[in-house]
Amino acid sequence: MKAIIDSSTVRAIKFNSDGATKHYYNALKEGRFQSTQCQQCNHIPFPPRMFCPQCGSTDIQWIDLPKQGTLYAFTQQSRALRFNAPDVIGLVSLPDIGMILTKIDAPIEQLSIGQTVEWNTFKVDDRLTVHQFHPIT
Amino acid sequence: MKNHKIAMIGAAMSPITKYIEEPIFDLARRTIEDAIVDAGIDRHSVDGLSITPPSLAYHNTAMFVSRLGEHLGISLKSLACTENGGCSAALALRWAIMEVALGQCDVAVALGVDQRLKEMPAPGETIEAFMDRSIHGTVAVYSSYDGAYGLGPPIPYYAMAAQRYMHEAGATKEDLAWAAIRLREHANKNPAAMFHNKALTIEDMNEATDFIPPLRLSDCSQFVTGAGAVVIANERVASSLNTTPVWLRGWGQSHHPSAFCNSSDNISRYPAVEASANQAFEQANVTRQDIDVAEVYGVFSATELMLCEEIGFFPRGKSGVAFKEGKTTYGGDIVIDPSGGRLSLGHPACATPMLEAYEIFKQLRGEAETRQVPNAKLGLLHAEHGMLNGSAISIWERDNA
Ligand SMILES: [Zn+2]
Repeated sequence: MKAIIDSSTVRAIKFNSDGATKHYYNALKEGRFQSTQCQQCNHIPFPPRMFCPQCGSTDIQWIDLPKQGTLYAFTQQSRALRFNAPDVIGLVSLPDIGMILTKIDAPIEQLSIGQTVEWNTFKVDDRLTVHQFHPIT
Repeated sequence: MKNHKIAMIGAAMSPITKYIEEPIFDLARRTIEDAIVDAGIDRHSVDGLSITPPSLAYHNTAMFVSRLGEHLGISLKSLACTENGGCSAALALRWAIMEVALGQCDVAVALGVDQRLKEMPAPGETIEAFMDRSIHGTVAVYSSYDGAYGLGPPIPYYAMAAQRYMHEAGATKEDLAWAAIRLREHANKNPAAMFHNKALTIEDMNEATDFIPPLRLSDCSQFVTGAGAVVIANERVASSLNTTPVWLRGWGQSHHPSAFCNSSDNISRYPAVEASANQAFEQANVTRQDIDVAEVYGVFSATELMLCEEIGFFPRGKSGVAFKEGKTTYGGDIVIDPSGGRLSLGHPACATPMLEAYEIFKQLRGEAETRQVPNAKLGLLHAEHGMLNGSAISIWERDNA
């Protein structure tokens, strides 16, 4: 079943991609956490985009994002579709970037709003790597 | 709405059930016919038809509205199918209003319909095809980025919004519980509701374990099957009938530039709801206190509370107390969700705004039977898409002639 779910997910991500999606996931596979930055106004959107949603410029560059943030919110699903239950999910606030939905690599009992959390990767299968955060305090 | 008076002259809804056995086509057709009969007009006087897709879960719904028009055997001057998640039925309603306001149609029917599919492969469908359909559906909604994190229904997003609401505004799980309880009390007056005759007490809520923290199962709506339809007419047609028209007073609509989860900002605040409410109230030239009855699209108990605050019925963080003290029910300041709301009426997402329109119409007509809000004169209905990223609010008034 995991293989079927993983294949469907990979296809669905590809089907719903925009111009930046492939680069973003390839960078994750290489252990890099990236988005795009506008070279005209310095705005960094997340998710990445091949243009700047603030000023409209297409002059963008890929940059590495900060790998530490604060835990903004969290919950867990007991009927997890992709990850083992209980599947802890959170929104992490990255400085100057905004909130990012992520897998959280820690039991929910150890979490609190405002905790400092750190980024690393989670390999789903050879085709797909996602990110996860864990508390470091 | 300044130059054209728009009336709602008829409405119908189906019972709300988890699944249906009959074809969705028959449910759609019957609900439309029921609304036309309720309006007391000749079915061939209908010249506009706007609908939602037959289900948010279906893939191939091309030209559904054309086939429905053919099936009904009615010549039309305008037909459309509108889709944007939870706002779909509000957009179908808006389409009907616009076609009548533009003079393209005299009488337009708007239909919202949605069907829950069984959580298993359809006959003849492989498990691979079934998973593909299910996962494509969620990734399409949550985007190719958030979609990778294994979310099925969007409950975790709303749970985190509830957590932030409690963290920032001081709301408690008891506040959330009272939203669920009041809606259940209303559903117990409504035989069409999914949770009719099923008691829910504060003890039940206190004893319940977390489903997706901090939400308990009874803090969540169930995605189910149902349909609603309303008939919109111009002033000439509405005034020619021997019934009381319900007039459109104001409409507001807004979309925050975010897709499913507004993660750029604050997930317990909904600027699109506030903006659409301000537009609607300004156009209607009435105040929040003037509203007698409202149907809001609160799919979770915490969302119900936050929505009431963004619309402006209560200050931030104070809705829970208002629900507990009975301000949102019969004998209070305003009756919110006399239908039972999303939590206890049941929530066929694509159809929900039309079920709200049905309820507001029946209330303003004085035809809501045991759940009638006494002397209801002004009603508000609210719809949203995404996680309240976009919002549509309209205000309707009983004819006082
Ligand atoms: Zn820029």
